[in-house]
Amino acid sequence: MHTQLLQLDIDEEILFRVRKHWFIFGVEVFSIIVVAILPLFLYVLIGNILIEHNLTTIPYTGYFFALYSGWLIIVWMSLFSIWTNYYLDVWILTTKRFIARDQKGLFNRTTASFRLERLQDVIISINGIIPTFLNFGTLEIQTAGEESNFKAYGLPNLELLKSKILDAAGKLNTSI
Amino acid sequence: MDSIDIKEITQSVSEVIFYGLIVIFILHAIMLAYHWFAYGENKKISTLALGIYLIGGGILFLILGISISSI
Repeated sequence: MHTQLLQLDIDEEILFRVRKHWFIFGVEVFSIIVVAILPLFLYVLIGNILIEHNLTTIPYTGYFFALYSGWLIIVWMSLFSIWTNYYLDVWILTTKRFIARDQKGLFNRTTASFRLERLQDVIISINGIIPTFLNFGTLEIQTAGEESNFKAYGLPNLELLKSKILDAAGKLNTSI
Repeated sequence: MDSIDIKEITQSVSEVIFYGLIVIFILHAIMLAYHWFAYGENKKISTLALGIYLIGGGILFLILGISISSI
């Protein structure tokens, strides 16, 4: 690992690491693919209509492909920005803490963590047909004190994650 | 005469857009690479992603260059 922000204590170990469910990323990729193909589809469709009505013989093919190539470059950059958000969003359970690293854009990044001894309750919720079938949903963690409660959307295997968090908190509390 | 002028203007504008896109792409690549290598957890994945990004981008710029030169 070569993370900048994740600084563990000497006796602290990473137990579990989770990213958002692949479906969340898949939907965004699908949207990008639609956006990439749409101009080509419109070009063929409109071109066919114009030819049918003898309005043109599509003389602007060179211009279209130049514009379309430029469009694809922008789409390509957007795709990797989306992947970066997905790749850098990570939730980490250690023997002492739960850490959330949230990338909200290239220049907007937050890292939140709470110590497991402050854990009060873990609530998981799965709403909808697709989340039910694919097993992903929302994880909410309530902590003691004035800290705001912790909430993460689109995480997979919530039951497993919940049991691991509770196990880790239980072990920490018995060792104190 | 007018058609020649329009063609020249189109070529010039296309070249400006082409070079502008290259600059934006390089800056974007630098920003992404910084994030991947600074905050990413696996250096191999970061390197692979950067390679795919640059190769894919290079191919698209090649297509764009050929398209502009064929106008």
